[in-house]
Amino acid sequence: MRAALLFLAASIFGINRPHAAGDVKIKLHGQGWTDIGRIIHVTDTLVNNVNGNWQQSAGAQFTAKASIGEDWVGAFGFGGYQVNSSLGQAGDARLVRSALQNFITESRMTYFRGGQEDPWFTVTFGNFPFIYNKDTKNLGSYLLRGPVYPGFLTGGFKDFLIDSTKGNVLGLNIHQAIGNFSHDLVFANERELPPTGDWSAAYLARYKAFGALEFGGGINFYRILPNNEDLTTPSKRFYASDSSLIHDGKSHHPYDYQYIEVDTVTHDTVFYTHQGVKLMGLFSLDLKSVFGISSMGANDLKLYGEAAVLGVRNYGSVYNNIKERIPWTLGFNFPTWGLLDFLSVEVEYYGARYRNDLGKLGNFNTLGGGIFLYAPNNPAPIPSPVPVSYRNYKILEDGTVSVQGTNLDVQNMIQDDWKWSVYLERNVLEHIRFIGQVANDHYRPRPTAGLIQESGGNAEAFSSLKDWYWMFRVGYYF
Amino acid sequence: MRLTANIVPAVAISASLVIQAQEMTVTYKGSGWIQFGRIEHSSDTVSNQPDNNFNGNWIQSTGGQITAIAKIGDSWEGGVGVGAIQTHSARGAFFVANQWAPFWAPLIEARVTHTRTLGDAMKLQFTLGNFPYNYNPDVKNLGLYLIRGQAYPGTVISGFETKHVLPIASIYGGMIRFQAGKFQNDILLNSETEAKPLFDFSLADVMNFQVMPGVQFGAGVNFYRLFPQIRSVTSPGTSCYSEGHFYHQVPDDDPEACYSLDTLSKEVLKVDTAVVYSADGRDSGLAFTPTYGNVVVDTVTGSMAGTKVMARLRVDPKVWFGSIGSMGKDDLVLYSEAAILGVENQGKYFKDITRRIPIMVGFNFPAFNYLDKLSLEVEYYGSMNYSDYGKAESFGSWVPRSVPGTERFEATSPVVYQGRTYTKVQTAHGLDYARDNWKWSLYGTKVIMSHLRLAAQIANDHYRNNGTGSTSYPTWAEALTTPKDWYWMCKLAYFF
Repeated sequence: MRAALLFLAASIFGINRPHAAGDVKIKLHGQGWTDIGRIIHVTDTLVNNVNGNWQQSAGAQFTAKASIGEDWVGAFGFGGYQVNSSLGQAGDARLVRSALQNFITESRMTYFRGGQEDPWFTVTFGNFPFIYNKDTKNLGSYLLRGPVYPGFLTGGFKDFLIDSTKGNVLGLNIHQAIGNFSHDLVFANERELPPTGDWSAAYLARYKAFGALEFGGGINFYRILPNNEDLTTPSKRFYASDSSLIHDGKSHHPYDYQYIEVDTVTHDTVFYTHQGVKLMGLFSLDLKSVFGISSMGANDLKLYGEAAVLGVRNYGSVYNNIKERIPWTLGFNFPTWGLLDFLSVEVEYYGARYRNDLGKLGNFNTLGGGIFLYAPNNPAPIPSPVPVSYRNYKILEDGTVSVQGTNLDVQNMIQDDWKWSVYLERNVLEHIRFIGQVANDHYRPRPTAGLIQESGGNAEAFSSLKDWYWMFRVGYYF
Repeated sequence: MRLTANIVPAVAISASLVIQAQEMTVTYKGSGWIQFGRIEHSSDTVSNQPDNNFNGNWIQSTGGQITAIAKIGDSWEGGVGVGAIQTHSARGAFFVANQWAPFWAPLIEARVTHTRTLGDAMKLQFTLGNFPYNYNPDVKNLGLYLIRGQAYPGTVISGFETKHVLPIASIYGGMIRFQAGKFQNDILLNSETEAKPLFDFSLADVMNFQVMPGVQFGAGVNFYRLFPQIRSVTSPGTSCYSEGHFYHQVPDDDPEACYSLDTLSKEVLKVDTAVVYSADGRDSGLAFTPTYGNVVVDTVTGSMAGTKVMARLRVDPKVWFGSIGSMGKDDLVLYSEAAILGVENQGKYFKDITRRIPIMVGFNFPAFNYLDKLSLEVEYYGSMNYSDYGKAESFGSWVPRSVPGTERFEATSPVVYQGRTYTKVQTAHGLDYARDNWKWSLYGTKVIMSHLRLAAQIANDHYRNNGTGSTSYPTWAEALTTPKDWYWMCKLAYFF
C-alpha cells in the first residue's frame, strides 16, 4: 500500500519520469551589500541609549538554483553578514563586538506545472522565500511576520523576512493560479520567535481586476500545531509565579503576570497562549493603468495598503480590544519618471498599548538563553504571551528612572502608534543597487555589549514621533 | 578563474552539472585553507598570567572564502564575497585545557567600483563598500603600519598571513584612486571595524610612484579616528575610572585606566590643567585623589585618535642587471617601510617620537622558482611600552597596559614643576622593555599545479594569540616578547 502511494505521488510530481543525461542546469546568484546609517533620535532610553549611534553592516550571499528537468527546481545557498552592534552609551561602546552571522538563503525544492516562468501550480518545500505582499518595502506583511499574542510588529531596513532572496518560511507552500485568481497554502515552522518549532497553517488568496487593482486576503492559524503544548500555552503548568502575585494582596498591572490572570469580577482564570488566528486584507492599485499614463516608471503611482487582525479572539484584560490589534498600513510609490526605481512612502497606524519589546519571549537574534535575566521580580522561566511591564526593568526597581504616566509609559504606549518610512531605490545596469531609507519603524538595534546580552536586540528603538533614523546601502547582485 | 557559459564553479556544484548561460561573465575567486603551527618559546608567562602560558601551544585555524567579481558595462565592477575563519583558542595553561571556544570571524567583500578614464594615461576610480586594500604587496608579515594597527597605544599588528596581506576585505568605507602613468594616489575613508571603539572614521592618503625602472617609492598619511563616533570614548578624558570591563589582566581599579599619571610632565602636551587640588589634595576633576603610591600626581588625558605617516621603498635590481638563471619575478627584491605611529606626544608613555617609529626591511632571496617567495623581514620598533592593547579594547584607552610590579615611584631629590614639588619620580623596574625591539620573520611560499599553495613561516613577530578558556576574547598581548621567542606556522591552501 505504502509503495503504491509513493509511486502515485512520484507519478504526480514526475519524479519517475525519465530525464535525459545533462538535464540539470545550475545558475548561480549572488549579492553583496554594505550598509551605513545613523539613529538620529530615540526617545526611549530605558534600556539602551542609542541616540546618534551609527549603524553598519556588510553581507554577502550565494544561491545556486538547479533546474532539474522541466518540472523541478532546487535551490540552495548560504550567506553571512558582519554583525556590528550598536554602541549605545559610552560605557557600552568600549565593550561592543562584531561577529559573523551566517544564514541559509534557500534550501528548497519546487515542483512546477505550467512552466517555470508562469506556473499554474507549484509545490515548494524546504526553506524558501514567500512574499505575499511584494509592495511592502518596510511596513506591512504582518500575516506571516511577528507573533499574535502579544502582537509585536517586526521589521526595519531591508528586513530579511520581506527579502525575496532569503528564505523566510521553513515548511511547505502549495500555489495555484487560475487566470487572475491565485491562492496559496502555507505551512510554516516558527523558527524566529520562541517558543520555536510550532507549526502554523495559512491560506492566502489574491485577485487582479481590470489590470490595475489587486486585492487579497489571508488567514493564519498561528502555532496551530505546537511543538510542545506546555510551551505554547504555558499557563497550564507554569502558573506558580503568577499565583504568588495574585495572592500577595497587592494590586498588579495585568502585564505584571506571565501566563495567567484572574478576572477580578468573575474570578475566572484566564489562560494566556501564544496561539492565535491572524487575518489580513490587502490591495494594490496601479493608478497609471487607471489613468492610462504610460510615460512613468513601472512602479510609479502605485497605491497599496494592508490591514491585519493580530488575534481575532478577545480575552483577558490584556487582549480585550480587537481595535488595538489591527495594524493599518498604506503606501504610495511617488512618480520619479525613471530617476529612481522606487520612491515609496509608507505610513502605519497600530494602537497596541504595550512596549514593543520581545524580552518576555526570549532573546531576539542572540545566543543568550535567559529571558529578562535582569528582571528582579517574577522572571519568566519560559516565553510569556503577556507584554512587558515595569517589573521587567531592573532600572526601575531602584527608582532611578520613572516614565509611568508619561508618553513613554511602558504599559500605555500611545506615542508609537504611528510609523512611517521613506524608501528610495535605484538599480544601475541591472546589477548595482543603491538604497536609502529614512524611517520611524520597528527596527531593533543589535545588542550593545556582545552577542550574549539580553538587554539589547529585543526592544524597538523608536517610541515617539520624534524618533527616526536613516540607512544607506550600496550593493551588487547577479 | 573566469567562468564562461560552460565552465563549472567547482566549489559549489558537481562537476557533472552545467551552468546556464549567464547574462554577464562573472569572475569567481575562492580559496580554502588550513593552517597550523606551534609556539616554540614564549618568555612572557608572567604578564599573561594566570592562564596564558603559550609555551609549546599548538595553534590552528581553517577558513574559506568565495568571491564573485563582475564587470558591469564599461566602467562598473561589483564584488561580492563571503567566508569565515574558524579559530580555536590556544590552550594556555593546563587548567583550561578542557575548555573549548572555537569562533568565527567573518570575511565579507561587498563593493562597487566605478572607473573613469581621463585621457590616455589617467584614470579615476571610485570604490564604495567593504573591500581589500594593500598598499605594500611585498609585505608578508612585518609592515603595513599605516593601515594596520593603532596610533595610540602604538599597536603594531602582524602575524602569519593576516588578512591584510591576503585578498580579504579590510577597508569599510570608500576609496578614490587616481592613476597617472607611474603615479598613483589613493584617498581612503575607513570605518574602524577591527579595534574598539568601533565605527570611528579614519581618513588616509597613500601615494605610490615609480621613480625609475626598478625603484618604487610610496608614502602616506592616515588621520586615524579623525571622525570619532563618540568623541568621549575615543578621547576618554578621565571618565572610565572604575568602569567594568572583561579584561582580567587589568585590575578593575587600574590607576591608569584611560589616562596616565605623571609627576614630571615637562614633555606633556595635555596636562590636566583643570586639576585644582583642594586642601585634602583631592583632584576636582576626578572622583578620587590621583595618587601613585603616596604621591599626588597629575592626570594626563589623551586620545586614541592620532596621525600616522608612512614611507616605503622597493628596489628590484633585476631590472638593472637582468635575471640570473631562472629567477622568480620577485627574487632579489629589497623593500622597506617606516612609519610614525602618532606624530603628537602624549604623556609619559608617548613622550619620544623616535620610539614610535617602526622600521622594517625585507629581502626576497633568490629561490630560482623552487619557491615563489623566500623572504626575510626584519623590524626595529623601539617602543618602551608593553605591547598590549587590552586597555584600548576594555576602556577605549590610549594608555598601554603596564605590567604590575614593573613600575614604581621612587624617592628622589625634590623637583619643582608647575609650582608643585615632587619628591618621587616614576621609574621602570623588572621588565626590560627593550627586549622586544627587534622582530624577524622568514617566510616561504610555493604554488603548485596552479591552484594549490603551500606556505610556511618561522618568526618572532607581533603575533597575538587568541584567548584561552571559554572566552573568545584575544589576549591583546603579544606572545613573543624576547629574542628567544619564536613560533612556526604552515599552511595548505586551495584557490581558484
